[in-house]
Amino acid sequence: MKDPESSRPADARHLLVEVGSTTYALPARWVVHSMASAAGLSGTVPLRGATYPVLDLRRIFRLPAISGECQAIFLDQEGHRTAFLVDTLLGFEQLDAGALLALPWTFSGRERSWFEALSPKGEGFRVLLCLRELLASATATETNND
Amino acid sequence: MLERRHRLATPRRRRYHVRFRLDEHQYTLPAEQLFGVNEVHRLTSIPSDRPWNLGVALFRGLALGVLDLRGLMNRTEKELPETPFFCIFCKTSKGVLGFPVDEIHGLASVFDDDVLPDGSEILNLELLENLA
Repeated sequence: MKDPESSRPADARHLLVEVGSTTYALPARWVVHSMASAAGLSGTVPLRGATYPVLDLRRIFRLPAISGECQAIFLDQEGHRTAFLVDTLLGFEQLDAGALLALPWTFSGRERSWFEALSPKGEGFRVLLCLRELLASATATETNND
Repeated sequence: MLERRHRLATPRRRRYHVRFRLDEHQYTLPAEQLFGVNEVHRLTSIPSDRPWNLGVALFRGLALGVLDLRGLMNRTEKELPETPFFCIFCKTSKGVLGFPVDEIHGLASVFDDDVLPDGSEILNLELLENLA
């Protein structure tokens, strides 16, 4: 019997994570690994012979830092590697690609490139992250801070 | 004199305005620019360069940006409203936007050149959309 999951487009399966009070979605095909980590971790982390620069999403989104434990999500998008620090790992979910909504026009700053679309859930939304743009933005921020 | 003649020749236009309160200020909004009023139960907070962007609300199947009028008017620091809250969604040339209000008083029928007796200010939507 064919697995119904396998017939769905690969892009529709996402890893849901929480940062602050918002749920974000990352394409599952880019997720390599996840593990508990100390909040505020920076620099690079080695995994299976590769190096992953750590990007704290709280820092990028200008949210207050948290203490204690968070989750590190190791991602590889066509050779662009990074480890995102997020508050909580919520699990994998198939998002309805046909129900995606565009970010409202009122969000016209840098965030326009960070977020790809919104996936409605009840009266709220899951926010689809645009990895490449977030990486570029974070790298630029790090360079400016240095 | 000429001005008086002109005023007599031009019919005064009566329009409906939505009247609402934010803090101690009363505002009105031309009713034709109203998209809808809703009690928002869930606001999804989205990081933004613009501090007056409160988040996104779902209304009539649309994802609509909700702005902080107080922040736009430089009155206070950004403060996320407690849900549920009343939200006015209005039409601008760029699209629909929403903003939480404290109270909605209803509709008032006024002439364009009238000053509302309670001193309400007409919300300048053009200014609002340019700031947004």
